[in-house]
Amino acid sequence: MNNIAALIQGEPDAPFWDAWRDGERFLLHRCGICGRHEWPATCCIEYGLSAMEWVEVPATGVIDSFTIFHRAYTKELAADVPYTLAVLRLDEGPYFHTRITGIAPESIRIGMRVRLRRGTGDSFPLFLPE
Amino acid sequence: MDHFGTTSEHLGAGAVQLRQHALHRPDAITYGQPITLEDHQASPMVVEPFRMLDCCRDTDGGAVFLLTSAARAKTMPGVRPIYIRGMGFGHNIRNWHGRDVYAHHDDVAPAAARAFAQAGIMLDDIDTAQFYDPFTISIIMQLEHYGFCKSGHGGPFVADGGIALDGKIPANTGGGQISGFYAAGFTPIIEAMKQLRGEAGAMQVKNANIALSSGHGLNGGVQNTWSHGTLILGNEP
Repeated sequence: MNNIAALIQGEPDAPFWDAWRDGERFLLHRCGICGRHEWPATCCIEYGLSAMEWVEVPATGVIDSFTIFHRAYTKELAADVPYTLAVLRLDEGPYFHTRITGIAPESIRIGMRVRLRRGTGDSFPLFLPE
Repeated sequence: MDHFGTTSEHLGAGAVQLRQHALHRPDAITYGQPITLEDHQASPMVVEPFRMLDCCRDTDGGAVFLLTSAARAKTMPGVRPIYIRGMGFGHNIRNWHGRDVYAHHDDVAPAAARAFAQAGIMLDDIDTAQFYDPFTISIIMQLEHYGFCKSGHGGPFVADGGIALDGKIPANTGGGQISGFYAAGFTPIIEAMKQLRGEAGAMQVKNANIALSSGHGLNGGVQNTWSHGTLILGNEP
């Protein structure tokens, strides 16, 4: 799981993973006409694919839903059990699925504000409370 | 559970009920292994709110049904045909685009509406329901979405014996996917066929003439289940 960018090379979401790997930049797919942000990569439901562009966003949002894993989904996560998997609603609108770090799972609440964790070499963008 | 106060004990009641059903089926993976609510509560948490006994297991096996015209089925020797009375599907991709997914992740309403309209029946006409049930919560949510009980009341409905053989709507009478066998959408279809043919043994629903069978899944890579299929089966055309 250490090189997601390589796994999805040539896929529609590749720019997202390249930007994260190369500089911890967090991108969303945005329609250049209506300004609506999307994740994962998609066509604008009003203006189609040609209007879409990748833009950097601050990567903040609120926890929309979450659950606590008491068994590791992959062996790489075994040391992190129990860990929290959350669905975020990013401030730009789209959902983003990630793990919440830096807080005990039992203290997490729906509606809690979170921000992107940087500087720890994460291969996948993880979040923590603001 | 956050919205309605459904509890782990409600989920457990469903697990115990399904296990009771499977005790009558020698081909069930949990045959001869009854459980109690205490067993459920003591089983390890996997992913909240699901304990081990809330989850189905991988099953090796096979299931087959033959699909043909009603006219031809009647000519086949030794066969008691089961008829497709109605079918419908729902897919809530619109909720993904509308960013309103998680409280309404399945899409029972349009699937049920079309299937019931085709069959020309009402909910009260269903003699037994066979739900797709990979996890205990699935039965509770579908009981609510189909209208067998009020929204948010699925947990108490199951705990009060609502899906038992003598309950308001006998459901997943073979133990379902959790205690019977997991064969994807074949599990509920095969059990519906057994009921309508009168081949359900000790779990036979009396006068079972019309059965509901459901399926859900598909994710588009970004979300859990959000498609739903409804099948109305009958032992008469």
